[in-house]
Amino acid sequence: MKIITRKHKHIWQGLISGIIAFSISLANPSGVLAVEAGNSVVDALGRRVDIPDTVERIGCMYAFTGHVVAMLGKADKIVAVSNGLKRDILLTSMFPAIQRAVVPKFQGAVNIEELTGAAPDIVFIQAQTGRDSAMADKMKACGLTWIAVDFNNMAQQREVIGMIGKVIGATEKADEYNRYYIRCIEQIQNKIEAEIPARSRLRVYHSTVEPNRTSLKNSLSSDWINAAGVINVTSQESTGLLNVNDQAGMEQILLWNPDIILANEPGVADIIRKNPQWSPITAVKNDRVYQLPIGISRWGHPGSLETPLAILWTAKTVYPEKFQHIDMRHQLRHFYKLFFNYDLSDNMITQILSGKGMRLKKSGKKEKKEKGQEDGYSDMH
Amino acid sequence: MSLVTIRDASFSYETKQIFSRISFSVEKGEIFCLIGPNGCGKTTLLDCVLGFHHFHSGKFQLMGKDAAGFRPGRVARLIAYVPQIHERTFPYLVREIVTMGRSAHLGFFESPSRKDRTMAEEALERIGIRHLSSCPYTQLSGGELQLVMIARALVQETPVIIMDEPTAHLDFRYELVIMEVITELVKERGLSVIMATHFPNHAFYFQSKQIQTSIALFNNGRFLAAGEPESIMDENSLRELYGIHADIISLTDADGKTMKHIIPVSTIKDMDA
Amino acid sequence: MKRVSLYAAVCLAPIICIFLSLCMGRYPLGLSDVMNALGNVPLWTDNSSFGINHTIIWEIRLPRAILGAMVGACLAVSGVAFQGLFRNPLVSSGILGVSSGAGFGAALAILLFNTVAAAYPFALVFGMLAVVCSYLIGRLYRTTSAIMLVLGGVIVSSVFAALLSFVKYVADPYEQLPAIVFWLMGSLASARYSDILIAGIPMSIGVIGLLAIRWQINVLSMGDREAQALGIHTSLSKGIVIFCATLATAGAVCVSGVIGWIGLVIPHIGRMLIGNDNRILIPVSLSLGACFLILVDILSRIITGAEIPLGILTALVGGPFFVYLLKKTKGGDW
Repeated sequence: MKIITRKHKHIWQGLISGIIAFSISLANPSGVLAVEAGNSVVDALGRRVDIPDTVERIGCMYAFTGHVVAMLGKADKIVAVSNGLKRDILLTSMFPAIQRAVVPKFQGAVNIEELTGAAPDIVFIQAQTGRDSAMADKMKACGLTWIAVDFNNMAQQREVIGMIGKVIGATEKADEYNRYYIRCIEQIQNKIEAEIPARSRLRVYHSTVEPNRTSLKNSLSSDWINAAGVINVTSQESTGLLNVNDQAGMEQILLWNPDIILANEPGVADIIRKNPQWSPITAVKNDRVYQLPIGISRWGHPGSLETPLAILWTAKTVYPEKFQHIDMRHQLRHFYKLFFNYDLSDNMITQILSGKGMRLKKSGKKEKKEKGQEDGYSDMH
Repeated sequence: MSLVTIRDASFSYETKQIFSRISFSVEKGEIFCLIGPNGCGKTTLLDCVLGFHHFHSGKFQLMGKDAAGFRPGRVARLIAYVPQIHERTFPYLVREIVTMGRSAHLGFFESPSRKDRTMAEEALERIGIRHLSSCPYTQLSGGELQLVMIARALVQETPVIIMDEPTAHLDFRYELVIMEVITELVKERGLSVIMATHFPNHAFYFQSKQIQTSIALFNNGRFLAAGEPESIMDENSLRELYGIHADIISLTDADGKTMKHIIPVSTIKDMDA
Repeated sequence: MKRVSLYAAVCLAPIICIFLSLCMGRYPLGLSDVMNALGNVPLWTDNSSFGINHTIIWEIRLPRAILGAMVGACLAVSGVAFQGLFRNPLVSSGILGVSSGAGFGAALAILLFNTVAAAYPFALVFGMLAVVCSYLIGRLYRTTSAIMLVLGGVIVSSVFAALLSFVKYVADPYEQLPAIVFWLMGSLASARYSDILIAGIPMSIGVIGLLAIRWQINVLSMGDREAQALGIHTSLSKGIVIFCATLATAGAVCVSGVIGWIGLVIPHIGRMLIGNDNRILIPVSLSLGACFLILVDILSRIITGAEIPLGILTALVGGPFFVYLLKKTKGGDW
């Protein structure tokens, strides 16, 4: 019976570690934040970190922080990145310097020697990485100054951007971005509040990466979707006790019966339109399944810097008659010029809005997705 | 026609010669006892007859036909096998084990029929263990298990049964039970038995039951002697075979029949001298 | 008569479970809704006009239940076959590295082609490859002894497990990795009729082959020597059993990912209920495996609005149930 007992052990270990991880996340519900305190900041793990006198070499072990640093005009100071960052076509074409940075983080774990070798003055990591005490100890031992970053809603995202701005000496630009962010939200909110009563707002299902994967309550995605004047179906009711991989069951989605479906992965919208399982859903019947645009990141993805644009786009897409005055092409040109000092061509704007071909695949080749090839995603288990 | 004929047969593992130029034959109703010390190659010789291994040279015939290329199914319709050690894994019922003896008579994808299952019950009846039919065979004693194995060999309906030390590990009573069962089967059904054994006395036992018995003394990969037990088993041959001093005595049983018996006395320390 | 009623139960139980599965789910459907929807078979009518109840029954619950039944049956039956073949009641389909080989193949396909569609043939091929490797390692000493085969399986399993970890390591953490992880965890969520048709071929061949040869599995469990003496062509028969069991397992792994535990627990439950004779044990395990996975899948669908991977539930449900059975039968005789 040896095998059986060993199997049990794995299960219990899994359960126990799951419970521990869960309690840790409860103990740190906000996951944030930067508190102004002279020349130091408080990071997502509640650590007070003194800002080094000179911040000339920056490590971004969390793609989002790389986007922020680049947006704040310091792309040339990035010396180490996580691999995902180099695959963003738009970002690397805006800031070729990023291609020279080393990649000490491939998946979960950070290669501490590679990172130390890049000699960063400051390293931004995901809070999750910093919770690994072994990793934290090693980074300390190697003399690395690191800041853990995490956010679960729009306010926290802005605070994180403010904190990064403070750390790398770009407070003004960060504030400017945050003001723009708030303006976008307010612009939409005011109009929605005034013109669309709560009960006639449309209900949205947000597919992230896979058709059945969605954004849960208390996530950035959920927050911005609500800010766009629509109701995220997952915020209405509990999806149950367990949320494994954020997967929503097909019957649960049919129960939600969303008016609108937004998909952030290229090709997923087509699958949803074609698969007979989805056919009875109002959004599918009314042909209101949309592909979210993809620029530097997939708009509206947790960790997207283009959240304000996602809000504008979603509001206009869902309520076109109410937001006729918003010209997305203009908004895009303005946004990327203002924050990235980059002039988008008409072609690129079209490409971003179509959400196709904006991310490099692992192999480094440009993403090539044709009809039919995508069918595989409907088999996604 | 002999059931089993072997002429000048040899076998070796890689470069190690196990036996060479072995010859013997087994007739209908005959018990052929293969006697020899541990490691002399008895089991290997039986394996060759059963088709587990192939003789490297010499003549090997079953029922007068060259048996070198026989498929397992064909061999199994001629020779049944009672193993020395049976490793029990799953608690099959006794009747399920015995029914497996019918496999050689089934088609490739065929399962035993009601008739096959009836045959198994009859074999158990014959051996006298029908009451064990529904027992998990893992719960049987060593002696009972050996009877089950014999029953299984019986339903295989072969003219020849090969038994590899059938009474090893058994107590006195079960040793005699097995010997009696073998005796009855040979007499009743005209079966032939090839039997490897450590006990030369078994040959005398069968002979005393008026069964045609031959014996081969097997050592160092060859037969020292082969023939009638009376004629070849004496103090000299035992000294050569096992390196022991032994006495051979005669005793008379209740029916007035005499039976020879070997009593091992002492080992010979300076064999080489 | 007893045998007839046993086989009737073997056939009816999965059908009852499938029907039960049609009646249960997150979406509230009454019995009459289910019956109405079932009455309109989409084959000869236009299915788009029937609305949501019809979609739920015919597009979501039915393919899922059928696929669940097939996968459960395959895993259970190949578990029985491997246990008999290797004369070890504690082995399961995972032995010989089938699951890890298939898992690696699927992950590799996702990595190389970025689509789950390629995972099917890859899982099949690598599942087979794993068996061939295990077999060749087992043959190193020119024998086909069970212990060497199992040892070969252990080696091959760990090599493929390591390769799988490597694939996961180099996979894209945002797109490929979640797909690989979820694929490996096992889910029937996206079951479609096309899956049933494609993966059904290897699964059916495997299961039918094992059903046909089930008597020989009895004899093979006596060990090579005795099996041959009983008239079995051992290397041929073992090859067929391994081929069929691997085909069934790999086919199941293809559609549902790696679902552990069924190949071990179901055969044992079968042994406890009706004994070890593979003539009866294999059909009974087939039925039990099908029922078990359908029931577990019902749980996975109704506990939460999310999908709980089946591997977790089979372990959580199967484990304690197994302990209960062990206790009830005092563990001695299966």
